[in-house]
Amino acid sequence: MASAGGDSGETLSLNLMPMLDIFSILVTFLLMSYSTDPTNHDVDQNLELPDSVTMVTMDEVPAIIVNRNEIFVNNKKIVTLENGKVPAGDLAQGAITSVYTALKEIDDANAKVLADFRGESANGEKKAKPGEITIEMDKKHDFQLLKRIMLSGQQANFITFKLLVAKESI
Amino acid sequence: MSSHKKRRGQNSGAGPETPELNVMPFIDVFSMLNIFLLVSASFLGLGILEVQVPFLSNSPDVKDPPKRSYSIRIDLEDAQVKVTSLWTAAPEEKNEKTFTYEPADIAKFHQEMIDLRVKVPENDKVTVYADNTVKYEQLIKVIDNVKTLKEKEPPLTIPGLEEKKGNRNFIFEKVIIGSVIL
Repeated sequence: MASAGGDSGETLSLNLMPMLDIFSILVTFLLMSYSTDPTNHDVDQNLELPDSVTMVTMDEVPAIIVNRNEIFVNNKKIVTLENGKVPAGDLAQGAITSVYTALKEIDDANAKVLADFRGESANGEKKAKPGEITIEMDKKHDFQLLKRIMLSGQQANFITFKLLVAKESI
Repeated sequence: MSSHKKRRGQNSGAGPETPELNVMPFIDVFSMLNIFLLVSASFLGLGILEVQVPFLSNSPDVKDPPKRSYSIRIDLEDAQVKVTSLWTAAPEEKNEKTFTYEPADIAKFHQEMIDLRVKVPENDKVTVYADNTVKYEQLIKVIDNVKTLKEKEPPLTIPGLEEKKGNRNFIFEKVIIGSVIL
C-alpha cells in the first residue's frame, strides 16, 4: 500500500487496520445516534435554549422564534426588539399587534383548511377549536416578553403553548 | 485473473504467499459516511414543555353549587418561588412555602411538588404566576420541576394514572400560566 522508496529500495507498508477500527466504531456510534425523526429543526444561532429534563420530544417545527433581537413568525421577521423589549408603538393592551396579526392569519388559514375538510363554508357558525403553537425563545429574555407573545396568541385563538427546550440528558 | 494465476504459479515453489486485502475502498466509503453523518447529525436533543393560558369559553355557566376543591398556585419572583396550596370551602386549609432558585432549594421545591401531587391525587393542575422581570430560564426551571419527574425517580403511584400511557413521567400534567390574562 503506502510505500516509501529509499536508496535501499525497501518498501514500508502502513498498517491501516487501527484506522479502520476507529472508523467502524465512529460510524456505528453516529448511526446509532442518528435521528430519523422527520421534524428536524436547526436552532437559531442567535439564541440559547433553556435546559430541561422533559421526556416529551418536539413534534412540530416552532412557529414563533424569539432570538436575542428579533421575533419571527413562520420564519418571517415580525418585530425588532429594542434591548429585549417590544417597541411601544407595536403594543396594544399588553399584546404585540404585529404578532397577533401574523398568528391570526395562521388561525384563519387553519380554520379554512378544517372547514374545507369538513365540507363546511369558511364562515361556518362553528368556532374552531383553540390551537397549539410552539415557541423557541432565548433563555435570557424576561417573562414580560413571553407574556406579551402569549397574550397575542391568546387573542388569535391559541391557548396551548409548547415551549422548546434543550434536553439535559442528551 | 490470468495474472493472479500466473503469480500463484510463480510463487508456488517459494512457499505460500500471504493474501493481501485492499482496504482502501473501505476507507473511502467509511470516510464519506463519516463526513455525511457528522454533518447531518444533530447533537442537541430538543424537547417541549406544554403550558396553557386561561381562556374564556362560550359554554354556558355551570349551575352546580361550588364543590370543595384543591388548588395550587406558584408565584415566581426574581429571587424566590412561593407555593400556595389551598382547600376551598370549609374546612379551609392554606399552606405557603417559599424557596429560592438555588439548586438545593429547587430540589426541595421539586419534592414539595411530588408530595402535593401524592397528597391530593385528583388535582393534576398547577397555576403559575410570574413577575415581569423573571427570566425565561427561571420560569422553565420551575415548570420543569413542577411537570416532570427526574430520570432516576420512580413513577408516582397514583390511582388512575397508570392507565394513561405516557403519563408516567409527569407530576402535574397541566400547567396554566395565570399571568397571561387581559
